[in-house]
Amino acid sequence: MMAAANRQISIALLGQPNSGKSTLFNGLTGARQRVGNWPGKTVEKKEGHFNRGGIRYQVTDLPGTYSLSANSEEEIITRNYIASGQADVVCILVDSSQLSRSLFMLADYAGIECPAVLLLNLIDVAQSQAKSIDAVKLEERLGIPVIPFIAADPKQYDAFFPAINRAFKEKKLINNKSLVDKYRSLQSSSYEKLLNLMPKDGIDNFSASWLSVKLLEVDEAILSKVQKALPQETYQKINNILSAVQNGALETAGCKFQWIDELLQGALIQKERKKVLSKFDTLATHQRWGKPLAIFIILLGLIASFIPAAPIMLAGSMILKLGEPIAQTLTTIGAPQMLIDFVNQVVLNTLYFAVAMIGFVFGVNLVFGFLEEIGYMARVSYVFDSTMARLGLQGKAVMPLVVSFGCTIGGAAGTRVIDSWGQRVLTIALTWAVPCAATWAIVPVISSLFFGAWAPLIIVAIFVVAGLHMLITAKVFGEKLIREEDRAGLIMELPPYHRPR
Amino acid sequence: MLKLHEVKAGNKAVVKKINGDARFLSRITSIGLSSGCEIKMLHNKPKLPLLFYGRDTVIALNRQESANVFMEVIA
Repeated sequence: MMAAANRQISIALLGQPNSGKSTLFNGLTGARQRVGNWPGKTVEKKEGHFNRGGIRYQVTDLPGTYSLSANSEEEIITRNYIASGQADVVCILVDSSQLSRSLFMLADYAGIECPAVLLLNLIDVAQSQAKSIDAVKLEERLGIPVIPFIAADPKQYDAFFPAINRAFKEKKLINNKSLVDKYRSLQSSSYEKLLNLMPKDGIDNFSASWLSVKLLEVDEAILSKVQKALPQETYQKINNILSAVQNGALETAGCKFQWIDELLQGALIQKERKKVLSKFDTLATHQRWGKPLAIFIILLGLIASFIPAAPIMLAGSMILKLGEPIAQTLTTIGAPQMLIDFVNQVVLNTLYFAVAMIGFVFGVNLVFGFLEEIGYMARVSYVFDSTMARLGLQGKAVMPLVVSFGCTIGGAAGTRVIDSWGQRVLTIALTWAVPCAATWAIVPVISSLFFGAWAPLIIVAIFVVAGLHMLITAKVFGEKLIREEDRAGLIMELPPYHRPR
Repeated sequence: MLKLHEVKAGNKAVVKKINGDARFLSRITSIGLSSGCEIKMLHNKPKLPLLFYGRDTVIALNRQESANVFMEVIA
């Protein structure tokens, strides 16, 4: 009870991608945040804190994942953090406009013995779709605080803080009794048999029941955790049971979704249903028009990048104006001509270029961050999936490659949305061949300097070689980098469009 | 039973069976597709991933892996 004595509560934010975790994180911590890496991993770790009512809240933004299985580094980091007990309360965010799917994370979490709060985020989007959600009923059924929520509006966080405190004080755990009943009724009662072999109190925050379910799902990481905790003989028995299990992950997922459906029975009311795909979406996902539209919007985005960039670039150009006064001062104090030339032509120009690039990179990141945030980038990934497949990649790789036209660093950083390690590395290996803003500037200048009238030909040749380089890199390294079992095709949701924060 | 990519655009169908390794099963179920789940096919165009609506979500799935999902058309 150290934490209570110090009046400090540590909270972790958990949710699927697009559930609004980062928005909540920024809304809570403002500028009091620190971005680093999880120890030994390339996954971003965001931490921050805020004070309220004399309590200091430490906030950790966990990586966005679809479940708590072991398919990616992000998922393993997420659940190991929760298991470690470093968080006092876990806030589970769901997208209220896609509640029955979004709650999968909650169902996957049930059975972990760490107090939790459920935030029904994007409740405004759900209401605009004529859905009404009874949070009180959900709270009764779940046994943890359930709060209708709009992460983008920090003025409405009032109900959030007492909920955290309540979950913390009363150690609110998810009531998963009826979910466990469903697991019990699975094929040849394998769940029951596994449960009897597990350590009684589970391992860390993972309950015996949760561990049994993960074993049914053929979760290698949990299997080796269990192996370490149990005598060899018991482990052998577990393996015998598991060898008879087929499609375990499918069966347990069935239980989870059944449980969710029962949970929502009478708590989620959907009035009339609008068309699933809006007019714009029909165009954005159109076989013929989707790609031209995407290219048009991306070009528009690159041009729009100059709007936020312009003031910074303008400020940079002021630096050049300093040239004359500096030269005059240097001449009057009798500095050698070489020094004057150096300052004037090299130092000032370099500074100008550096500031202008900062402006441009800032602009590109802002504009493409916006396209991602409102949900359009998912449509771009969808229409370019087959193009990317030719490089051995999937649709999600298109965004990093596009951003690389502006700035390679932004592109390489953007590869983190790709789920398989090999595909991610291959995308990074391709991003630098995409001519970035600086390349666009330098290639024409140098070509016309050296080749005069032949310059256009040379410029085209250079960009063709860059394109060939991408093809060859993909062919040579793709096979090795992306193992057969890693060859994950596109599986993604097209999130509903929503306001950026 | 049809494979998922054989369901025509505009048709509704129910998931009967999904084949694949644990990794694929876990990926596809966590995005909302599981046995008994009802979907509506939105787009089924060659050269584009499948686009369908299920569990309140618009889901895109590549054609190759959709051959592991078996469906029964209901409408």
